[in-house]
Amino acid sequence: MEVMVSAPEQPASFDAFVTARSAALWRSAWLLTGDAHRAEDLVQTALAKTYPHFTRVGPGFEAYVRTAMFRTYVSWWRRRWTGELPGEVDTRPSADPDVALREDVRRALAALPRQQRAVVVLTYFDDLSGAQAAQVLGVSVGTIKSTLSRALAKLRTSPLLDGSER
Amino acid sequence: MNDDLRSALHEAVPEPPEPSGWAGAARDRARRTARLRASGAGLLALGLVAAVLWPLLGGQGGRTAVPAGASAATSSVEPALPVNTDCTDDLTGAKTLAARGNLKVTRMSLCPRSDGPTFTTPIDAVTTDGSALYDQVQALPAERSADPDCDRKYERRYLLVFTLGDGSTQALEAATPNACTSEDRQTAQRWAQLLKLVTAAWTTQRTATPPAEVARGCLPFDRPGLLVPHTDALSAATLCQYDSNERLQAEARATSEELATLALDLATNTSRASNIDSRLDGAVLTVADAAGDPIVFWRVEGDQWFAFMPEGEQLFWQPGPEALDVLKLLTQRLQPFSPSPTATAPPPDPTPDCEGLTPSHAPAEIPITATRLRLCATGESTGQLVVPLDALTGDGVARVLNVVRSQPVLPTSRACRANLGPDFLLVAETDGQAPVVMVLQLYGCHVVGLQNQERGGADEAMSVYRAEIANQRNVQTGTSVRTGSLCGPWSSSPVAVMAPAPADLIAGRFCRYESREAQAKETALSDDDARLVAADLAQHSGKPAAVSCPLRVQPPPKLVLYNRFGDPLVLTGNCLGRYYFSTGIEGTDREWTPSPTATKRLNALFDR
Repeated sequence: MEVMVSAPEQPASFDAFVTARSAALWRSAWLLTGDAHRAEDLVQTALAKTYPHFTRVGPGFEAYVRTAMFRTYVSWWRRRWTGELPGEVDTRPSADPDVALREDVRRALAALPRQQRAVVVLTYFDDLSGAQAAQVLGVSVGTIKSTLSRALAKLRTSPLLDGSER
Repeated sequence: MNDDLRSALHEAVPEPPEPSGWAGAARDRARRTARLRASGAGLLALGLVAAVLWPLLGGQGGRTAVPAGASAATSSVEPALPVNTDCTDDLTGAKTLAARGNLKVTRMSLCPRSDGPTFTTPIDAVTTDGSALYDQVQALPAERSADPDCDRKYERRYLLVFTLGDGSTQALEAATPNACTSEDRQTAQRWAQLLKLVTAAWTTQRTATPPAEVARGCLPFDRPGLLVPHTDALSAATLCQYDSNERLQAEARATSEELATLALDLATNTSRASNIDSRLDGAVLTVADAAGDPIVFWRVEGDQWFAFMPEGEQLFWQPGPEALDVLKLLTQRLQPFSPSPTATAPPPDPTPDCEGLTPSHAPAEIPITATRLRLCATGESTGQLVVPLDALTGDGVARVLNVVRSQPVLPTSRACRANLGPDFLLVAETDGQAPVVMVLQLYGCHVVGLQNQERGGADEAMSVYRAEIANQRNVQTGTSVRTGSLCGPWSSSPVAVMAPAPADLIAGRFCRYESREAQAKETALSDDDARLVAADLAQHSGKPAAVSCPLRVQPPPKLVLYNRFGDPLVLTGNCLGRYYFSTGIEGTDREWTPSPTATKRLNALFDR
């Protein structure tokens, strides 16, 4: 089934795009990395990669940046593969008193391997369809489905997300 | 669940920061990447890796930088390693071992893989009880089918090689527990049990027959040890500095006293953990025992180090004060890595006034004035940046120092931008006194750093310094001559802090490279050639440099021209007869499309 989306508009300039859409990208990056500075680093890496193609890509540039961002995130793991076990997201407690939910979500996501984390964020935060998520990550729709299934199975049994008092 | 999860994710995300300056930072980063890519230096390493492979080390927010002399010499040769002769380049591993029948195992070796992330493996082979081990390995739980979400080629793997009685070999491909296999208990068990078996086999043999000593210094980049030595058995410690292309640049070996201090500290101040920040901050400490088994410690933010352990966790190290002092001393002693005789490196541009200077020598206060103020290059990020030969003197010195003194001292806990940029030493000299050496960082928090404090405003300090140098030059004739290689390595395109205007260029050199590793053959341009090139450049340049190119010439032709103050402008052949050059550390890359006359002259030069 083809997914119909409204045609995106051409951003007026790269600067205008960054001003308007960086926040949205950063939010996704935060869910991926669990850390504000890493999220900014990830967004800026994606912007630097995609800036030379701004004029050529035209409308849909945000999707292009998002793809670069998610693939960069996954490839960071591959590039620096050194035997890390899942959960390398920063899980240190924050000084912000109003962060109970934030910490729980961050820690629950931290328990997922990177690709599962990426699929969850794409489908449940960025609200992409399976086909769209597959395109972003460069995998098959079947892989998205199976990855998401495993991720949700983990999250369902996570005590961090079951609403229980701790 | 689905709606709850969706809501939870949306509610959990904090408010994003203002994207102030992000567009400009992305553009700068893209251009730097394009410049390096075009010059054949390879991709600027991404994000975390790129931002932190700078050789800055220090305690409590201070900085210790590599002197310019150490960073200018480059090498494209990896450290030579002692080898196990069983580990041949054509060795490939199988997923399982074939039955050995009646054949006995005569020896076993551990070998690195040649096609991806791997380990430093022991040099010695095991020659006892090989048959028993072979059978035990065969009995291990099988490796399950790979998770389709995990790309196996990026797993860190090694080979276990058995030599049988008939001279044949069986090589088993192996990995260690990792994120891909952690979900599959059977595969995780296989790797964990295999690692225990090989570790026990080597320990047993070495206890009975100590192996020959293996001298270990710096290793190829990202090659942790497969067999982990005890910290009380260490026989060597080496501090290693790599560039952004993962090549060894400099090393410093610990004395026996320093090694003892480090070993004692490692025995008491390490712990196993997971979830260690993998952000790298420049320095790698390789310690090893007499058998050559290493532990490779990576420095992360602050004074923290960690090492990847083969069983999947990390070894976390927080050095104590004495160990920190040793690490500082090692940093000060970093010497350029000497490549093998077959590779050559161009001689460094001598800047005797910069040699040996580090901020750790500096007192805590910024002086009100000084006799001279000069810039020195430091480390990898300024390896391609050329500081002016002339120093600032007169009233301008006080004006620059006043800019620095007026900046607020930064808190120790702060958030900094993730942008990239160069760093320098700003050296204030007064006759008869020790120099005051400050670090000037044009990235991250943009600090001016002393031993015990950091202030903001590095960009303003640099901007005022350059303006004052320019004013000073207006009343000087200038006779500075930059000695040493102007061409530099093939992959490097130096940028001058005081970028000369094309109209001011007076002379230059033509650089010809026969290979990536070879030193440039430098030929001085005739006065006539230099004048023609400079005039043509002034007239036919200015367009932003093209980022992509369908056809590149490798190695790229290169011309270096300079003004009367010795500031170079490097023209690197980019694409189809065009050249690009940088307009300075705060400038952009521009393109020169030579006129037909200039093209004809350049073709004649290249054909010489």
